[in-house]
Amino acid sequence: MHIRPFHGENIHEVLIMGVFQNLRKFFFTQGKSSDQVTAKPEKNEKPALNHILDQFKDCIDFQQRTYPNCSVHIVYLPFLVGPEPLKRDIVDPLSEATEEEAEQIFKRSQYKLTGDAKECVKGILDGQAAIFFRDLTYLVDISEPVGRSISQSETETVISGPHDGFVENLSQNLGVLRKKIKSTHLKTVKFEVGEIAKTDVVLAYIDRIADQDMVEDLKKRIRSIEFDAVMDSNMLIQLIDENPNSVFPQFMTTERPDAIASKLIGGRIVGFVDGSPSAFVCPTNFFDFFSSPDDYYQRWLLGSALRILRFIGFLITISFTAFYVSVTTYHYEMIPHTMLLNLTESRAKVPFPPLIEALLMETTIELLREAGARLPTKVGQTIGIVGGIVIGQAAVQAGFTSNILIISVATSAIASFTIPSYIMSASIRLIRFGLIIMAGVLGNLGLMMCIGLVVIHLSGVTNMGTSYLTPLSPMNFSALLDTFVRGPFWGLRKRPSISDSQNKSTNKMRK
Amino acid sequence: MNKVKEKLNVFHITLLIFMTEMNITMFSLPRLIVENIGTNGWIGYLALSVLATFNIFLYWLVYRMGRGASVFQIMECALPKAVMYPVYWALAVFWIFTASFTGKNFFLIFQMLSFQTTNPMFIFLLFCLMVFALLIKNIYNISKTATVFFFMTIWTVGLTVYQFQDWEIVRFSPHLFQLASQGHSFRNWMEVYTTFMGYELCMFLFPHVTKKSKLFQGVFIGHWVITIAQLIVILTAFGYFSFHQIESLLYPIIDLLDFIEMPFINRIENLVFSMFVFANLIVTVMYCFAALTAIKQTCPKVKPNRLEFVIVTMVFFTGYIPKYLGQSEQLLRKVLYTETYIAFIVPVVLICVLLYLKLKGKVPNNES
Amino acid sequence: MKVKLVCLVLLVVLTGCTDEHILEKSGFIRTIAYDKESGEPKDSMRVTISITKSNHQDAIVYSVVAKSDKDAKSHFDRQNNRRLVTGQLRQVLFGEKLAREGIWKHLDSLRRDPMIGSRMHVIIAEEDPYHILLRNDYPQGPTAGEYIDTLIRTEAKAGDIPDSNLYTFSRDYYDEGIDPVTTIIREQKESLIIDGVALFKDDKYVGKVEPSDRMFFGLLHHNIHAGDLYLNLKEDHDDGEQASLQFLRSRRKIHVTSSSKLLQGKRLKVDMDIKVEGSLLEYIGELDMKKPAEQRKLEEEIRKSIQTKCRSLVRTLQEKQTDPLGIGQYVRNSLPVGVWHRLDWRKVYADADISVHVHVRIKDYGKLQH
Repeated sequence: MHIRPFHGENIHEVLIMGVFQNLRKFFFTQGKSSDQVTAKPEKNEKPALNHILDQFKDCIDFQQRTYPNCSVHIVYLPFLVGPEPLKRDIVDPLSEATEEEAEQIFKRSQYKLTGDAKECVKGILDGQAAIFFRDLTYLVDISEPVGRSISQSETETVISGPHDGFVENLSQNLGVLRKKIKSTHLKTVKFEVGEIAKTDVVLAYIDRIADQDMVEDLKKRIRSIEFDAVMDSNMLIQLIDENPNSVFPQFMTTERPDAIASKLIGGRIVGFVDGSPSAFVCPTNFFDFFSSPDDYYQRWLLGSALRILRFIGFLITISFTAFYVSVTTYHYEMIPHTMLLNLTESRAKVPFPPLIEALLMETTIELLREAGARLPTKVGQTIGIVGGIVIGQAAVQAGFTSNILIISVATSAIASFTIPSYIMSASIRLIRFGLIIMAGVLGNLGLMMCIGLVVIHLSGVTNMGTSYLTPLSPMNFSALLDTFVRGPFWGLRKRPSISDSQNKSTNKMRK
Repeated sequence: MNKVKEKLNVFHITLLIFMTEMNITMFSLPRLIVENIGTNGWIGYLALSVLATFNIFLYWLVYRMGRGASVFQIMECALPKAVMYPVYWALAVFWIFTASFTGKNFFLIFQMLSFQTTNPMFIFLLFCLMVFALLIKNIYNISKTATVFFFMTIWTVGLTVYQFQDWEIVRFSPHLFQLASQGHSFRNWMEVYTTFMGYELCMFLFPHVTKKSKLFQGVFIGHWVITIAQLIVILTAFGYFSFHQIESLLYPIIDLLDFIEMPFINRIENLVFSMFVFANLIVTVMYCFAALTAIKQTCPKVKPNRLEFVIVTMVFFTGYIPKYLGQSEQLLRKVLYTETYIAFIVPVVLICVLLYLKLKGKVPNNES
Repeated sequence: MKVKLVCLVLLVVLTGCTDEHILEKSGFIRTIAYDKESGEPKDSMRVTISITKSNHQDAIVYSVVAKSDKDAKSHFDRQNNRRLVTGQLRQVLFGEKLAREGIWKHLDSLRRDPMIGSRMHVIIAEEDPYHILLRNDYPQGPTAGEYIDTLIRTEAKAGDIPDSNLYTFSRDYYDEGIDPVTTIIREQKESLIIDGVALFKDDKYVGKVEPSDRMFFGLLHHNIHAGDLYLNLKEDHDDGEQASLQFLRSRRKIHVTSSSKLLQGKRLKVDMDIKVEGSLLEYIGELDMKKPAEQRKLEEEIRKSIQTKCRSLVRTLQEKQTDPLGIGQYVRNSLPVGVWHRLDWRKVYADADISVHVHVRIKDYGKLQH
């Protein structure tokens, strides 16, 4: 897997081209054929009860009610509607009403007249009730949100700062966002993605701060997705990014509303997928994955120190074990003499060469991590203890590995968890294997060559047309202040260069 | 196509030129200076750097007079394509040789330090794959990579503080340019000058920049940044080694690194030298890029990545020529000497052509 | 893409393992010693190597009479079950007898080896270096190699002895205006002891600075950052005054005052200024240190004592025609290049008028009032 960045290169251009050709093709098929050929005849069709019943044939969760006293037929999906609104808007007013009274009732604002069968079906699928009265059809929203209430994010925790996290419900998430940013400039655009599932996707951006071209580009990409169902925003971003073969995640996803709000204000575009608790942000650069909203809630020196710590963690993760392999296999002269003897002694009983030894232990620790993640939390902890302590200890005593390797493997695993983004941390752990193998083949040179390949790959990755390595290259000095360190707020006067905002300075909105 | 719309800017050009000039000669630079210039050779080095600045100035003139037209446009305005194409081909082949010899030389030196018995062509093959991976990207991506590589290598200049304790001013001498072991000659001074090679590739950047990029500001700064960085290293070596000791050392910079001892790591020369594979990569890629540009001019309708592949394959097979370090050094010298001549001749020729074109009143236009 | 992947995997698999130096399969030579025994043929010598075992306690010692370094190594390779590697070589010991014949050809082959670091200590061993390595019952350190390493590092850090390693030796050897020096160690019943500084003329061992004089040599040779100096203020009396300067810092400066007409036989004149400052933590004598006037007097006495010592030391060096102080560097820099090269420097140096001026400042007198 480690060679991916490398052999994928020449394919990229071709793939991007391919994707874009496909995009264009899809754009035309959707825009012309599906809207005009299939939708048009339906539009002329008036919503008829029989037609609707036919559409929802064989659905046990479909219900039809009839009020003969006022000759009203009502259809809805009962699992989507709430008992309260159902009682308020349907049962109470209609159960006693006469036909004349019903006519008056339907003039109230919540009953919307519709003349389109397609809209009617969609409304029912969204949890509305369709009311057939005489030859008119009304829709009334009696839905109740399905899902959990807003709670703390489990995957991204912070110590200080707001503890709420997004939930699976789109409207709830948008509500949270609106509460954070009370501005009319916050624009939201809705899409339906997935040929069958028709998942709602909402793009949010702040008008006059986000780059309009980028918004249009993103809209175009989302419209041209051809996929049966999109279940999560992490899935969606893989369908719209420019380097599908890259190891690295290109659009950042987060469950934290405060992070999303601050990205929006920085001029990024944010997307929500209904049913997914994580929102995605674009354009993102490599270094964004290393910053946590926590950094901004600490004093800036502390925040900077933490961020530097994470970058050190990144370096340790990718190179520590590889360096161990390189040094113990080829470059013994680099080891100080006192350490050399300890190393030699701990390696003395190990039957494998360092490369195999390191790969074994790294795989073991990945197994542990994966097992811990798949099991319920409480069992997961046990696995950690059994695996980490018992196996580690026993492996050393049995002469299976050297204890210094255990230290190195454990340190790099721990260091990888300091990276706030889980997906980025997993990608980096994957690259590490490439580095270890290259270090086992060519020592320090192999290590450097592999790092070089990663850098070559990274500088080729683009994100909504911006470089993945912004602000390091292309260099932007003012943005660097908020990249490797977290600069003091008096220093952060510019919006991130990557968002290419027309309002470059913070605090000011040029009208 | 959602291509990156940006063009090179001054900062990237600076670093690209910096990395391109940081060729493999720098490891033997103190020795070259001592051998060819003698005592206080660093002053001579500075003088040569000024000369290189003048050379860059010539390119600037070409850029100004041609109003940003690429060198090919200028030449083809004056001469028929049939005349120019063989020249392009010859130059391209020469640059492929340069790229290959610089690339291979690095690994032959590396094999002196470790991996003595591994087949160098195996390492070189891996290197060529890296070159290919970088070459198929556009120049903008190459410059982005160079930027990152710059930050990954520039810190090594800071390692000179480890030499500070043993550094003594008395090892310098008040005498200027004495004791040059091979005497002073044009050729000997030029041997030191070859270390600057790389800036001449700025002529291929003309089509990739706009007025806003301030191309030549970047080239000048880049050239002087590397001059200063190397000067720091040279001064360190001069005060740290004794004069004749530098003469005896094949690669004094490696010996400088050899001395560094940290509590958790000793003898970092191997690690740091490996790190310069980045610099070497950029140098090789830039010469391949030059060759690529020249060949593309003759056959513009080749499918993407085909030419790149051919060039890298040629680089790889040319790598079979230098087999031993001494031989490789010699070949590298020869190639770099020629490159120095080219670096001076090309702008002079171009200026003449431009003057001629001006007289005839058909200056190439590059407004598009 | 697939093809490339397969190629890469193949390459990785096919790569040779000949360059591996896996830790537990290598024998790290820690120390190497060259010596000459009286009964041996002229062109051969005894080469001894010491390999520290990974239990920190013991060392394997091999010794053979051989013609050259690499000749000896091939002999050791036949004995040792691990591959012998030189990358961790930390000391090279030369027997006194061999050192008198010149050590450069051995050092040259060590310098040539890219695996050997330039921080390797170069040491002269009085008596038998083989025996020094063979013993591993030193209470100070487990093996001879580690013991010597730490001993020299500590002493060199204090400035007592010059840090003599491969780098300094070859630096000074190549430089025409200075001669290299190394540390001398000698074996004792319980330990090893630093037994002064070895003086070289080119690469030949020509004499030594006695251990009691090593601090004065240090003052003359380099700047001391944290040394201790014990002084007998009046050497002719047995019950004489004694003083000890601790935390001593010194700076030395060399001025060539007259270097004209050296070729015509005019005498070279060099001034050496040495500034010394330190804390006086021990004083046995008659002066009352409460009184500032007496303090000045004490400083003056110390100054005189150091100066006398230094002057006599310089004279000995001149007599031996060796210039470890690097006076030649300063002379060279003050002369035109041609003159320097025509100069018979050794002779000029031996005749030179080198005057040493010492300045002493006592920073404090410890934590007592008097």
